[in-house]
Order: sequence, then structure tokens, then C-alpha cells
Amino acid sequence: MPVDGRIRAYYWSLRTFLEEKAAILNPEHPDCRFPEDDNQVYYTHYLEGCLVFIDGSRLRFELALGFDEVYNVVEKRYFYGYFNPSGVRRFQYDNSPHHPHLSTFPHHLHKGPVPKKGKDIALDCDLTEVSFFAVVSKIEELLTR
Amino acid sequence: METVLTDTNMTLEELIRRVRQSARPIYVGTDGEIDIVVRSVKRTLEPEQAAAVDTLSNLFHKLQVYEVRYRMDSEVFFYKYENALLDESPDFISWWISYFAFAGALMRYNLTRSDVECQLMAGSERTIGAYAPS
Repeated sequence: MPVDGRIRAYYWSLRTFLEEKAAILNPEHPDCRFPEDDNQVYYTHYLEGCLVFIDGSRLRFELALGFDEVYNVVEKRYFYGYFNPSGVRRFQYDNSPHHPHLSTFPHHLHKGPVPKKGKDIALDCDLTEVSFFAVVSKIEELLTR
Repeated sequence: METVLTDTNMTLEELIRRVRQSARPIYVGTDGEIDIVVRSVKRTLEPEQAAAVDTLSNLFHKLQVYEVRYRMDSEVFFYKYENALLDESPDFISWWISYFAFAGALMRYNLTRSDVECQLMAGSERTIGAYAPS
């Protein structure tokens, strides 16, 4: 498959995955955003959106995609913020290179509300690999527990 | 002594001559033929380029909003953020990811465009490459 074809394939794998998770999602919610076609991600390798779950919680995500050494699609730069229905953060995964002291650097996790003052403490990442699939699966686990 | 290839009756020397000729750029004598090629390439690429520019513009506008809000060039911001010289705020994370994607997309777009322009320039010089009929 041509390299760029993999980006389109990746987009459609996300769409398929979300179809499988229909039971926990509320796609009709006006805040729910996911690119309708694969053009944007194909040309820019950039994907941004917001998923609304059945309990009103939201996952905001923003990804810059690229390839690893064997041309698999990887999330080079990412942000996943999960918020309760009132907009208070529950957790956040990102790979900003701000916490070199962590064993999972640059991948890390923030838990709880964003502090109004002081530092937003970063923790070691608790996922083997942060990805759209892994984060949505984690939320599914929380919702169905 | 000539070596005859039995299944085609073509000599080996003739085959080598044809292969060499087909791999050599050839001069196209009439304007019409090459113009058809150029027009066809352009017609195929124009919608692709338009779509690429559209999606790049969206990202570019997003970067502009941040540049105005924080009075900083995206390139300068990216350098500072990558070196942890700025806070990890929601706006900055978004700006960082958007700029990373934009810079990569722009580079790919320019590479593709320069490839295509080289091809078209070659066309305008009335030459075409390999696989030309002997």
C-alpha cells in the first residue's frame, strides 16, 4: 500500500472503531465532532475532534500523524483530554516534552481538574501505548464499570 | 556474428538498441502531442492541489489566531515549546500539534509540487522520458 494510503486507512480504522463503540457514544450531540471524510487527515496528517459519550462526558483529541521506521502510522504529537459533563477535566494524555524526569517521557498523564494555580502535575503514563483506540477503550471501561 | 532470439526473430543487438533507445529521452516534434500530456497531468493534479491547499489553509488560519493572540511566530513558539520554555496550557498544546502537522504538510506539498513542476518543465522542453515508443 502506498505510504499516504496508510493515512486514509488509519482514518477509516478510527471510523470503524467508533462504529463498534456506538453503545457508549452520543454522535447526535451538537458538540460531537469528527471529520466527515478523510481528506483533511490525508493532506495534513492532522486530526482533531470531540467525542461525546452517553453520560455527557467528552473526549477532546488532537493528533499529528506520521510514520515509524516501517511506515506504520503513529501519533507523533497528541493530546487527549477527557472531561466530565460539566467540563471539568478527569484525565489528560499528551506527549509534550516537558517532563523528562518521568520514566515514560515524553508520554505522560495528568489527572483531575486543571489546577487554577501552580503546576499541573504530570504522572507516568499508565497505558502501554497511547493511541485513539487505547484512550477510547479506557473510557469505555470507566463507563461500563 | 549476430545472435538471433528465436522466439521473435530479433537479433540481440537489435534488442539492446531498442532498450537503449526507449530509456533515452526523445524529442517530440509536434506541439500537440506534448500539450495533451501536460494538460492531462494538470487536469489530474489541479483538484488534488486545490484540496491540499484548502486543508492547509484551515490549519494556517488556526496558527494565525494563536500568533495574533500570543504575539509570537509559530516557528518561534514551536522551538520554545519543544524545549519546555513555555507552559503546558491547552492553547499551547493545540498550537504545538497544529504547527507540527502544518510544517510537515507544507513540506510534503512543496516536494510534490516541485516534482510535478519538474515534470511539466521537462514537457515544455519537448522531451519525454523512458517508455517512449522506438
